[in-house]
Amino acid sequence: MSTDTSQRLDALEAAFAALSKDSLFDIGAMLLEVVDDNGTSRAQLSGTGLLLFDEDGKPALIAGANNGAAHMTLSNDEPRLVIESSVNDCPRIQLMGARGIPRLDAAVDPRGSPSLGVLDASGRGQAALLVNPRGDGRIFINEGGK
Amino acid sequence: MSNELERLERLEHLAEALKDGFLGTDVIKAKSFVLTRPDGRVGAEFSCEEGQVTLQQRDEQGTTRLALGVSSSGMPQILLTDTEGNVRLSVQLGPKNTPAIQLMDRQGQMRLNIMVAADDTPAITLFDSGGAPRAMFMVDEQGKPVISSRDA
Repeated sequence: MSTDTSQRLDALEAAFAALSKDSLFDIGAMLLEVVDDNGTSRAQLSGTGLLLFDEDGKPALIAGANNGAAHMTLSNDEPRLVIESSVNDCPRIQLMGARGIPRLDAAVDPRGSPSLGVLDASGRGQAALLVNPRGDGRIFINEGGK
Repeated sequence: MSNELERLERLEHLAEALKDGFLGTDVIKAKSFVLTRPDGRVGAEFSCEEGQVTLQQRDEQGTTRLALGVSSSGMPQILLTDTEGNVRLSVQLGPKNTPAIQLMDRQGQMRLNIMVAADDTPAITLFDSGGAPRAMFMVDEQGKPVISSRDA
């Protein structure tokens, strides 16, 4: 076999070895994109996160992870539901009303105490259900600012 | 030798075509991506069908356990399913952009609903096994906090 043929075989072996990797990302792609019948992008999966779009092309679901924290947001023009694990390891779920103001807020603080807050239209806490760090269950009602 | 050369050329053409299609590209587009387990069974599917885009992950038995999607009407939803295939937890935006988290029992009956309604009032409602609301924790339209419970 000639040197030229040998080199071409080596190159082919290298190319097909790359194709036999376990994942598509290993062969160089940085983005997987799912398109609908019209060719419109409806979903994107990359190394940093997942994006799902509605039929108008607006992001409806965003999920990702960075700096040791994961997050997920459901949106319709503006974020309406957010789930996150903060860098302080405090998981949190927030449900928003109009203008992105949180109206329900569930979280576990750094001391491990769970709480559930119900907020009014201006974002002020009006009621809360929680277990304090001593393990006592509490319900708070805010009536007239008290 | 000429036979070997022909085979080599065919392989080179194939490699070139694959390179143009995959290697070195930044984006791979398709209507569906399917991830398979080592034994060939489907582990996850990322697809767009009839206007609905979904990412579904299956367990060892092939039951879909996690689904993330956007419906054909544009509403995003996350569903967690038990080993029997019943949806037990749903996180979604409703038809009027109402964010909600719902927990279901083994019979599929919603037992806990956490939501912000269309009028922006936040509420947490607990249901009995028959689907009747029995306890509620909310702030009404006037900003007044309310805790209520109902008998059967």
